[in-house]
Amino acid sequence: MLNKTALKIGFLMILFSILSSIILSVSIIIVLLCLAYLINNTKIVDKLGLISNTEESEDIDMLFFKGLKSFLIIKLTITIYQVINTLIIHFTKLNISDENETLEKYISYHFMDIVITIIAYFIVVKLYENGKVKFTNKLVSAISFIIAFYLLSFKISYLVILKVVEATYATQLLIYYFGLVAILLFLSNKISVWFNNSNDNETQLSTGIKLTAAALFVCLIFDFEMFSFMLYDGFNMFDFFYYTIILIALASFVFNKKLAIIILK
Amino acid sequence: MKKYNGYIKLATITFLILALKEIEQLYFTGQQMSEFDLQHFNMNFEVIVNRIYAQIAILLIALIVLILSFRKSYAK
Repeated sequence: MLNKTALKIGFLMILFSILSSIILSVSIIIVLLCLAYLINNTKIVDKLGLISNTEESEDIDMLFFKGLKSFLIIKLTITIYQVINTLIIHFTKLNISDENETLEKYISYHFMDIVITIIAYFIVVKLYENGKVKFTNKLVSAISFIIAFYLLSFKISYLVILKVVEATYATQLLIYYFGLVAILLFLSNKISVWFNNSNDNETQLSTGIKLTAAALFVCLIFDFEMFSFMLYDGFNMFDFFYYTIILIALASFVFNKKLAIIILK
Repeated sequence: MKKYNGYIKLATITFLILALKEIEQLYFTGQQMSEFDLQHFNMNFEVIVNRIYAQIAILLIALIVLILSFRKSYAK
């Protein structure tokens, strides 16, 4: 009897985690779709002069490249800040000798984060800059997509090895990212039409894969596991709004030329 | 150095926001918790004050770098 109940409870928990991850990925997809629609199909954005390059269609690589580069810079800054903060917290503790292991654990975790970010940076530089790589377009985007997913799973497994998070939570995260990728790939043809208006199947597929890779890189960079973490202790609408607003703000920053000119040049 | 000026600005702005958030959180913790609760987390009020000072130092350094980077771009 006991075993059966335990099985049922376990099954329900797995079901719940899958459901929650699907809901979260759907919500992120909706936000992304709204953004893409707003950016590409409304004339308000054009009138405000926010987008500089709607007519230069091959600029999609450049757009991804610039956006991901600034995302990476921000992520690197956040990681360095976290290292400094860990050190501050460690050295202002009442009895320092207690928890040297914790310090080592967190420092190595942040170090791994920095290394992954640097790897991601070089991948972005190599793969999204047009003309530098001699492969076909589709192959390049597929490779970048695979590397992004590989880096993500590597990061999550490293979290489990260091015991920063529990294994069940990591499984939930992987399911969540997998749902995100599956939905993005499923919708990629329609999304890519919004970004890159062409009837060529090959171009559409390649843009879709690139978009998926970009979304994965953003997840990798910005610890959007916090999105799924908020379901851990009850769904909080404020958290959801907070992260959605951050996402929108970041995306608008990436696509906003005037702000970019003020800050980046 | 000019090539990376924009990225330095981006990084310093991120630093500013993070330090402000941390200071706010530390201040909130200091107001909400009693001395006994803080001992449970291996802290006391002195620790909180020290951490706030450290965060303020980070904030000031970031601010100086930000101001310098803006001045450079206006000088051109």
